[in-house]
Amino acid sequence: MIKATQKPIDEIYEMVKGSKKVLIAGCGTCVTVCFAGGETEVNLLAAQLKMAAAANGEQFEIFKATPKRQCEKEFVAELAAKVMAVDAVVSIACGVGVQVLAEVYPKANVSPGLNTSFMGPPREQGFWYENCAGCGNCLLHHTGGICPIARCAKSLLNGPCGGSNGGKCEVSSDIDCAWSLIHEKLKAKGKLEGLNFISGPKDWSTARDGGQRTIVRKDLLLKNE
Amino acid sequence: MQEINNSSIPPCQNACPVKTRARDYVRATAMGRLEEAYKIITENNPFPSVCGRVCMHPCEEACRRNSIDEPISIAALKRYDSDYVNENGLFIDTSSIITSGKKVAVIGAGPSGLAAAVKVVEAGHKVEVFERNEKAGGMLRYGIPRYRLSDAALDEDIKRIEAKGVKINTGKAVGADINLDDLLQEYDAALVSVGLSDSRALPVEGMDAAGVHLAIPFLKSPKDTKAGNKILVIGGGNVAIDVAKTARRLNTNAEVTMACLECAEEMPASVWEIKEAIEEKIEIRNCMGPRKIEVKGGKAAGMRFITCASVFDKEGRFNPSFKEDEKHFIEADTIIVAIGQQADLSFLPGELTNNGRLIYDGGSLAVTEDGLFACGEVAKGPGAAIAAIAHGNDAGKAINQYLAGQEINLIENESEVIGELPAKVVKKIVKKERQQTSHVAAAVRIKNFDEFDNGLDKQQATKEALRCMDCGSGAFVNQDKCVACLTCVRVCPFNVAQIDKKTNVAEMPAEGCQACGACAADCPANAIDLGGYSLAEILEEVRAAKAQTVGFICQSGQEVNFPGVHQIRVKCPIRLSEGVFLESFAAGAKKVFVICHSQDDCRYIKGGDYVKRRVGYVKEILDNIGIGSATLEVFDKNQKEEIKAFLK
Repeated sequence: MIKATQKPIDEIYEMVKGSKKVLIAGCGTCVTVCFAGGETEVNLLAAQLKMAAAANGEQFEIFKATPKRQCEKEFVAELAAKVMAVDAVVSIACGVGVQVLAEVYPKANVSPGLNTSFMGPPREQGFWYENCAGCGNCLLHHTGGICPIARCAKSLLNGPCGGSNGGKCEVSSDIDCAWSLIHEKLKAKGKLEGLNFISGPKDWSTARDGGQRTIVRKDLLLKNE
Repeated sequence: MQEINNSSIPPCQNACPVKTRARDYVRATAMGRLEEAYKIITENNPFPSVCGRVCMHPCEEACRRNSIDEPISIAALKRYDSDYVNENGLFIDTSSIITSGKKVAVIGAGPSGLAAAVKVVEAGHKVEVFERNEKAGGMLRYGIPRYRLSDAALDEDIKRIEAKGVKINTGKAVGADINLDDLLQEYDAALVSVGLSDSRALPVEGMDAAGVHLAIPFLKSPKDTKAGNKILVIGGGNVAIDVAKTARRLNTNAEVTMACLECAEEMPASVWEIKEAIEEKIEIRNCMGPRKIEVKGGKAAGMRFITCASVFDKEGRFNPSFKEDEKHFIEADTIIVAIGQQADLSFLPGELTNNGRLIYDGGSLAVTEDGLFACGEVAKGPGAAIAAIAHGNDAGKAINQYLAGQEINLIENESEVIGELPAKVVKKIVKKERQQTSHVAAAVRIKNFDEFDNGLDKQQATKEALRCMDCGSGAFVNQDKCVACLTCVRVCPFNVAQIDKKTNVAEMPAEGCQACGACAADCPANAIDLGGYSLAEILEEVRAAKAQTVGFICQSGQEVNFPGVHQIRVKCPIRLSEGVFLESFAAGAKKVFVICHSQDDCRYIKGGDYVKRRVGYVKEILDNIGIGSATLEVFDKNQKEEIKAFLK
C-alpha cells in the first residue's frame, strides 16, 4: 500500500494561515493504515492546527471529513458541502487523493498535508519500508522475491556493487543491501545458480522514464472513444 | 454514562432476578459516580439499602471473575452506594405523576408488594398499601434480625418508596380493619402480597409446652422471649440461622444448638450465614429427624431425634427417610421451631384458597378476572428477598397492563449472555484480591443487635469496583470505518482482537474482550467505540473543562487532591489516545499529565507502556508547534516529588 507521512505542522499552517474555515480531508484507505491520514489523524491534525493558529493569534473553524478513498471522484463528491463552506482544504490523502480533490473542486484551495513516500508493507506495528518501485516490468521471479529496483540504492539488476559491506548498503548502515538479501534468500532456497542469470539492460520506458503512465482496459470502458 | 451497545448481557445481570445492571453500577462506583450508580441500582429495585445487606447475591455466583480469583463483592458495593446516597440525602425521586385516575390497593407492605406499588405508581396510577403491622417492610422488618439489616437502612428505602408517591397505611389489616369486598369495590385493581407470615409448627408431641416457640413471632419481638441456657433451634435454613443468632444475642452464655434434617452439604442456609453462626459458637447438628419434645412440669426439657438417612428421594422430592434405631436427645429449656412459613389467608374467601394456599395464575399473576392479583411468597412460595421484589415488579407490570385494558403478558425476551472467559485470556488477567467487608468480632457483636457488617470504606469500594472486568462493555467495531489494518490485532494486550473471516473487519468477541480500550486509542480509522467511559466521553469532558491543568489519573490509584487541576479519572490510562492529550491543549490547557499505576499493580499488564509511547509522540508534536514537550508528562503514582515539581 501507499505510505505517507505528515508534513511538519508549521509547513501545513503556512499553507492555510489567514483562512477562517479549514477542511481537513483524510482518506479511509492506504493512509489510514499507515497512520498518516485516517480519521484519527484528521482529528490530531485538527487539534494541531488549532494550536498553531492560536499561537499566531488566529482562530480556525475546522471541518473534518474522511471519505472511503480520496482517489475516487465518487467518494470525493460526498465532500461538496464542506469544501464549498471553507476557505482552505488540507488533504491528508496521498498525492493521488490530493489531486483528485483538486480536480473535482477546481475552485477550492487544496493543500497537501502529507508527503507521499513510497509503496511498501509494515515490518512491524509502526515501521514501514519501501519494497516496490512500480517499474512496470516485474522481475521478482529472478531475485528470490526481493526487488532490487526498490531496495537497491542504485537499482542494480546484477548486484551487488562494491559498496555492499557486511550485508549493508554503503548509503547507510541502516539499509540492508538488497543484493546481499537476494543472495542469502537464494542460498537458503538452494537456488544460488539463479545468480548466474545476467539481466540485460532494462527497458525503463515502463517506469517513470516513459512519461506519465496510463492503463486502459477497453473492455471496461463504458464510453467508446 | 454511555449505554453499552452490545446485545449480550453480562452473567451478573442475567443471574439477578430483577436484572440489575450490576456491571454498570460497579463501573460507576469505580469512577466515584455514586449517585449514578444508585440510579442504576434502583431501576428495578426499590430496596437498594436492604439488598446491599441481605441479598443472597446470585450475581456474585455468576461473576466471570470466579474463573480468575474471586467474584466482585457486588452486594457490598450496592450497600456502599446506597449508604452514600442515603447519608447525603441524594436522589429522592419524586418524578412519578399520578395521571390515570385509577386506583390500586396493595395488601401487605413487604418487598414484593412495595416493588409492585412502585411499578404501578410509575405508570401514573394511584397506589395505596395496607399493612396490618405497625411498620412497613414485611419480613424485611419482622423476619430479618436488626444485626443484619438496621431499621435505619430499611426506613431509608421505604422513605424513598413513599416519596415516589406510594401511600402506605400501616396498622390496617384487611379483613379486620378493612372489608375486602369494600376494597375491591373502591379500587380498580388490588394485589395480595401478604407473604408467608406464620411459622409452621412441628407435627410432634410437646409443641404446646412452655419454652417452645415459633420462628416468626420470636424474630418479630425477640426480647419478649425468655431465652434459657440451653437453646435448641429446629431447622437448617437462613431463618433458622437468624433465629439461632438472635437467641445467641439474647443470652450470650447459652448453649445454642441448631438441629436440622439435612446433612451439612444439603443445608439450605447460605454458606456465609453458616460460617457466621459457627463463629458465634452455635453448634449445628445435621441429619436430625425430630420425633418428640420432652416436657417436664409443663416446660420443654429437650428434644428426641432419630437419624435422618436422606432428605430427598430419587426424584429429588422432599421425602425424608430415617434410621429408626439411631436415637438422639438434645437437652433444651428453650426450643424454637424454624422449619418454614405459611400464609395467613383468613381474610380471603375460601374459594380463592386451597389447602391453605392461594389459587392464582402463574402466567398473569391474576387471582380473579376482575382485577385481583397476587405476588411474592404468598403466591410463589418461600424465596429470597430479591425474588420477591422480582415477582412484585412482575405484578406491577401485570396490573398496569390490566388497567390499560391490555392482555397480560409477562414473558420477557431472553437476552444472550456473554460466554465464559477463554482460557488464553484468563492467563493474562492480573489476579486481584477481593475486598471483603469486615465484621465486628463475634465475641463483641453477640452482645447487641447492632449491624455487625461494617461495609466497605471508600478505598475498598473503589478498589473492589475496579476488579470488575466490565464484561461486554469492551470494544465495538464500526464495520463501515474499519479498514482491517490489523492495528487492534497487534496491540490487544489480551490477544482477543481478530479479523472476522466473514466480514473481513475487526472484531473483539465479548467473552474475551477486557474493555481496556488499547485498541480504540490506537485505531487509525477511529473505528472502535468503547462502552463505559469512552474516548468520546473523555474528549467531551476535556473540551468542556477548559482547564489550565488537566490530569488523567489511573482509577486504581488513591485519590489525590491537586489544587487547580481538572482531574479525569480513567479506569486505566491505556485508553487515552494521542488525540485526548492534544485536544486538552487545544482546549486551552497549559499543562497535561498522566498518573499511571505502578507496573506491579497495573490493571492491565504494561498499561503504562502504551501511554508512555503515545505521550512520547505527542511531545514531539508539542515541540513542533512551539508549545514545548515539557508541558506533557506521564508519571508513576509513586513519583510524588516529580509530580509536585511538574505542577509548580
